[in-house]
Amino acid sequence: MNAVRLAIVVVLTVTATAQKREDLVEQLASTDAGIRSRAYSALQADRDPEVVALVGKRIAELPDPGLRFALWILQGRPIDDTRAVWTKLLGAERAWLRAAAAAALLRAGERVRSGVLAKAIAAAPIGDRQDVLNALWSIEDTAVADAVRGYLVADAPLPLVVSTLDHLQQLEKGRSAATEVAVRALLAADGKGRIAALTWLLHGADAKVHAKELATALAAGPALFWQIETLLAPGRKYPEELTEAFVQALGSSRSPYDINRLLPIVRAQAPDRVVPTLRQLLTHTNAQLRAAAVQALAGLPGGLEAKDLQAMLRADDPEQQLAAATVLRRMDDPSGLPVVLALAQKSGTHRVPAVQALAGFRSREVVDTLLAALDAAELPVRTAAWSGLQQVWRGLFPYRRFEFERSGYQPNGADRAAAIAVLRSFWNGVR
Amino acid sequence: MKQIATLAILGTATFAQDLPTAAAVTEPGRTLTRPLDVVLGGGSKDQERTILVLLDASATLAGAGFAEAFAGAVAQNRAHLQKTRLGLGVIGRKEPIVVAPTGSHDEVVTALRSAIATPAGEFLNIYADIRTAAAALAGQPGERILLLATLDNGDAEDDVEQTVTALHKAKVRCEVITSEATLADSYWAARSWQEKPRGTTLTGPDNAVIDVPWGFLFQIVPANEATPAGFAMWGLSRLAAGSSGRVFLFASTTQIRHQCSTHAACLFCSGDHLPPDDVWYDPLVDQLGPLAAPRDDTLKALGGDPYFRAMIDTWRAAAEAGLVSSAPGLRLTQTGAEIERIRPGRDLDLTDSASFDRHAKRAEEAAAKASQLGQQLQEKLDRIGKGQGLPRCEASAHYLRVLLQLTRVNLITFAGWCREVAPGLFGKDAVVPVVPEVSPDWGGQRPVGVGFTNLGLCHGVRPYFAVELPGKTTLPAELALLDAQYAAFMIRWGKSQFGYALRRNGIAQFWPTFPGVAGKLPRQRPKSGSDPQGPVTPKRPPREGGASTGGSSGPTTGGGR
Repeated sequence: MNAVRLAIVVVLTVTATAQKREDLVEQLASTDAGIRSRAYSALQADRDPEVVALVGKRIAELPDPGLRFALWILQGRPIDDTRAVWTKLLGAERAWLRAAAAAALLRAGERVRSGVLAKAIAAAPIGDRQDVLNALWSIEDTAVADAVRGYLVADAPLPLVVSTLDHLQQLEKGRSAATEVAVRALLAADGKGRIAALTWLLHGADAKVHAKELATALAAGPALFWQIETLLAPGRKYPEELTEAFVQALGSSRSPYDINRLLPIVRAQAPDRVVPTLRQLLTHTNAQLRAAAVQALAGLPGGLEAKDLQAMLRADDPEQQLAAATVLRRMDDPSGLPVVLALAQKSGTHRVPAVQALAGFRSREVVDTLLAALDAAELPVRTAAWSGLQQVWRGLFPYRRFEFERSGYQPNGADRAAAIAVLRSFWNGVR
Repeated sequence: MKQIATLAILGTATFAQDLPTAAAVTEPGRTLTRPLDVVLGGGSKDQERTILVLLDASATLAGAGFAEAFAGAVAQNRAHLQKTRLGLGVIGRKEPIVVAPTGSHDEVVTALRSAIATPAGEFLNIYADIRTAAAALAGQPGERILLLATLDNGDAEDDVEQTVTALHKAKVRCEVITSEATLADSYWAARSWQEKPRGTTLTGPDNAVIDVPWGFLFQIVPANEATPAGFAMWGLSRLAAGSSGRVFLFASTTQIRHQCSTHAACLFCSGDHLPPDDVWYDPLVDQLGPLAAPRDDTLKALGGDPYFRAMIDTWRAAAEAGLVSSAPGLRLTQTGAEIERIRPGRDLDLTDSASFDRHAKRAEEAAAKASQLGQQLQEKLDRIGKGQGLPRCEASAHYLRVLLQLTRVNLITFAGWCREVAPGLFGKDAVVPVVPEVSPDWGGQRPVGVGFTNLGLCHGVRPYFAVELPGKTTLPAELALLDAQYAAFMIRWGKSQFGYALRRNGIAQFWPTFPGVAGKLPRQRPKSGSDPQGPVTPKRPPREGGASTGGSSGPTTGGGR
């Protein structure tokens, strides 16, 4: 009797799980971005092969946002689980789907799919071409390169032209004569991607002529610059007509990524302009940008002197203080440690970065504060302290072997006191 | 007698001052664009010139985008090249001259593209082909320039002076594009078994001889194999200096970033270190640059230098005491120095067995010897008057002084490990550690020796004061002494190749080693007589140097000098 009951429970559970999966796949078609996104996360986390079959059944009918998620799910699974679905999708109506399927099979070693892929790439309407390009990573094939080159047409929007050129750069491992012909044709056609073509041709013999026109276009403001910046090679010196545009863009950086990306470009172009431009960012309203500017300046000769950093340490701005202390620590100067110790003990939004910064010091002075932070009220503080403590102890005791999990401490555990007592006991024995 | 010695030293100092230096011929920058622009776009438009590009078509040069850069430079300088004939030679070919000098520049660009598309991976004797190229240029009209592009093969020397003479005779200026050498590179000196092209010797240092000690006990890789020199290999600097040419160094952008160490672990950062001495001070680097004089003249200049003599004597004594793995390979004479076969140093046999007590005693004796040699060297250095030697020799002697103290620290740590740590790992009285520390699990094996790695000195010595190291009773005082010497050295030489070299050394960390499981080795030769014919020239093995890329080309000066 019990066995029958158990069998019924198992059947019901399996059915419920299968139903839940079907619902999740259905939710990929939702017009609500939040629902779609949650369904996608749940399906990605579920590694059961049934997910592949369910997604494969529904994929061709999904609207574009859900279709993108569905493709990512399939692309993230082992090819043995997805090969049948991909093979079926080779006959899909949409060229985008056919291209994604052929690309997946080609990556899996089915060289014969090259021709199908090239045809699908060529057949995709302009609106789908960006998605097609996104499906083509790690494919080095002449027929594919030729088909991709076909996207360099006058009516292609600027982002598509930039993506196509970026893609060709990777595919051809540099620049080919065929792409140069296509880019020059694009320039002659005076299409929407004209400034991308001008940027690409900055490497050629007539760079100066193109630089002048590009500089005029970019003078309107940095918005256009951010669309073509991936076509610029870090460390390469471009015609001086472009210097002002590059410097302006660095000064208008929107995120630490922009700073890191533009720094080598401006450094090669006009080394004397880098430091003054980054210094302007030190007073930016965005704290992340300010911190990134400090870090960038620290790596430049004459960028930040110790006295500048000491002044920042004394400023009444925790972001600046932490950035300065970190840079000083990176320069083998531990004078910012007391400031970081104080910030790591205070509650507030700066406690997590302060605890993270503290772990960088690899000094005995930080251990007590890190141990105290293991019992902080906020989980992110506890997580940072736990990771930091492990780094610090491994550095201070290179001859000891640790298995930290044996202490029983878990940042999200309910009862942390006993584990912290174990850790303190070790520290008291070796301090 | 002392006066005569002083006069001799002063005479040698004057002699050394008259010799050409690598600093005088090395141009700033690390790109391909600038040298090509400078060479192709040099001279006036109306000047008649012949430029023969001699290509060492290695994968490194191909990967650097040389073909594209050359095509760009030809296009960019078209106006300047109107009266210039371009030619192309490829090193290693039976007939090195591929395109005789011609006014059809596009023909050269095309031939160069095709030559670089099939890169060579062998050691090549570039000097022999330079002589052939010089002969080919001899009858050409106008100014004659040999533009040598070689990132890999400057170290396979046959006869550098004969090559300089050939260039001189043909009135050819040699402009060199190459990679940066490592400081007093000891790589090939430590690998004398390496096959090389017939008639060549594998060298590679920036100077004519290895003038910085290498092979210190408990350093896993000599700093000489990982320290950018700031200059090219001696042979190439010599060609430029001997023909009124220049040297342009190249480095890929990926190489220009700081790494605390290529071979050691860093206890103090996660790769975000900004060492205060990372950006070099150019005048100091130039001052510490090598000579670009004939090897014999260099030996004469070095042999007369009091710092060099003190350094060589101590180096030899350190090798005899087992503190250094190799003797200098140079013998001092009354008036100079002579090259001699490199002899290995004494083997203290500290790591090949698990006799920890015996190891500890030997290490303590060796540590005492290191201290004694260090003090003797210091006394000698203190007696040398200001301005009596070459700055490079002075830096090298002081480097040896600090390295002897570092070796002493490592020997004391080793003895401490043998006495304090090793018995606890295997003995019956092994202490059960407090969690989260755990006992290592050796799987019931008994140790057969001692292994080690290095904890880098990139952050200096001071941070080690907080680190728990074996040798508790004597180590703190010795670390403090090392810290003082390290700091003094860095104040004087920190922002240069010598500061970088010191930071590439490390404090040793030890562990027990266990018997390995050996498989059956393949036969060296097949039984039958049908042995496949090996390559005529040996393949160049990949080399891990100071370059972050770990390629076989040279490293890169800190801060992208």
